[in-house]
Amino acid sequence: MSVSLPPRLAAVWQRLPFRAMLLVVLFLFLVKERYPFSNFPMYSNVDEEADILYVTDQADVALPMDAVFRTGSGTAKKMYKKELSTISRAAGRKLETATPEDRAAAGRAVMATIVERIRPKAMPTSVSQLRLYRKTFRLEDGGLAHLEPERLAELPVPTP
Amino acid sequence: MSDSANTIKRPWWQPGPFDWSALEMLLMRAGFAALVFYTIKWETGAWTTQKFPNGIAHFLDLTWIGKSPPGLGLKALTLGGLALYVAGWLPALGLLPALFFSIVIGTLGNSQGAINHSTQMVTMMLLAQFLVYLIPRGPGVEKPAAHWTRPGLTAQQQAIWWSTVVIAASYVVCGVVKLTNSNFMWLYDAPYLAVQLLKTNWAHYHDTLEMPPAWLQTVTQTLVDHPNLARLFFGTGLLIELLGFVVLINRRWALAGGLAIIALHLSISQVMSLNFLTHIFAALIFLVNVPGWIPSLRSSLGSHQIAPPRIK
Repeated sequence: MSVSLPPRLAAVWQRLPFRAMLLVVLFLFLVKERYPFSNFPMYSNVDEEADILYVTDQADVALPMDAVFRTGSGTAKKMYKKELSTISRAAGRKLETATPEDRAAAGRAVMATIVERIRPKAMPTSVSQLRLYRKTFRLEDGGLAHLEPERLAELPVPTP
Repeated sequence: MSDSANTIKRPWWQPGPFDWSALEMLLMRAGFAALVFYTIKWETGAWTTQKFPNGIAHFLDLTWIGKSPPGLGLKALTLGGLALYVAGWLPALGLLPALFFSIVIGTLGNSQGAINHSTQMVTMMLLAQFLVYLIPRGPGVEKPAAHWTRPGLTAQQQAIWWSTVVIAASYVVCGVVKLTNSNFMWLYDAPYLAVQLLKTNWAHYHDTLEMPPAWLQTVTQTLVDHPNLARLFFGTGLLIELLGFVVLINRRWALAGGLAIIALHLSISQVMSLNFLTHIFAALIFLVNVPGWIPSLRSSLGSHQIAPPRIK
């Protein structure tokens, strides 16, 4: 790489260890998430709360998401956050101040995506309705609290 | 194992040479080719839209590969190219199909609204190797025609070297981002990660309907009850990431760093059900490099020394 540096700076640069790696680190740090590049920000924001999404049948019995929807709970949660961010931003709100209606709209969008991926053979025949829930865990008073799940969306099982 | 005599002047921070032999690198390429093929998410059928475009999906419609997933022919083409790469013939051309599918499929997968981080590092390593084989550069590298058809030992070593650079950079930037995104409070806030443990284990339950083992609940509660233990546990992981650069020092440091990275992923896999098999295998192939610790393999086809790339 031929970049002209002032002589003193060039001397410092030449003595710097791991120069190639430092340049790649700087590049990834600035570029962030643009596939295949990433700054790998997983778990960089830690909070006293965390939530998951899951799907149940009409009797609130959980369904195995990997097998039935080809979409794991973690992926569904990321999709939900993205949808919620878009919806609440369009309404002039922040993600943290999203309303129950915003959350329901985001839930419906996620549900619409994942039902497209249903493996009919993996879906138990007894299931007629699908419900999408969000469950929050919180660290409070020295313990881990499981908050009441919030139903985000419900729809009938689509006919193949 | 002793490092062989050094004839190339190395910088002060790299006391031992990476004298990868031709046979070692052949085995590394074979392992990497298998890893690349395994890493590509060929089952693209679920991705027929790109509602939240990422990377090149901002200006290219990639949904065609979701609507018509690659069949046997394209997979065979990719395998054929990887075979050329392993053999050391036309490696830039050989890597092209794998690079194309890695980037196109990876980008489309990450344009569904959920960014997954299991394939980026291997794809970046693939890109780095492709660029090394495409652009002849540095002392000891053949002229373009020879470099493109059958690159010599130096070019092969450059490709391996840049792969280790990508591995090191991926871990270091991951550690740096933890610090900057948390206003340097990550270690202090680490006890909150117990909630993430609980979350990932419940998420795993809803993925598979298999209950997490009882000991995991004990571990989670222990981390809540003892915040400093949580800081020590998660802080060790942060340290391994931030010190990822040590794998570029020499073989011994690469081995130590590689084993630390593998241990990190195995422990994350145990307590959070988050599996990074591709990262584990990348570290195993390029950092731990088991064949490289067998003296007969190192000397059988001649070893040669490599100086780290000069970046002016």
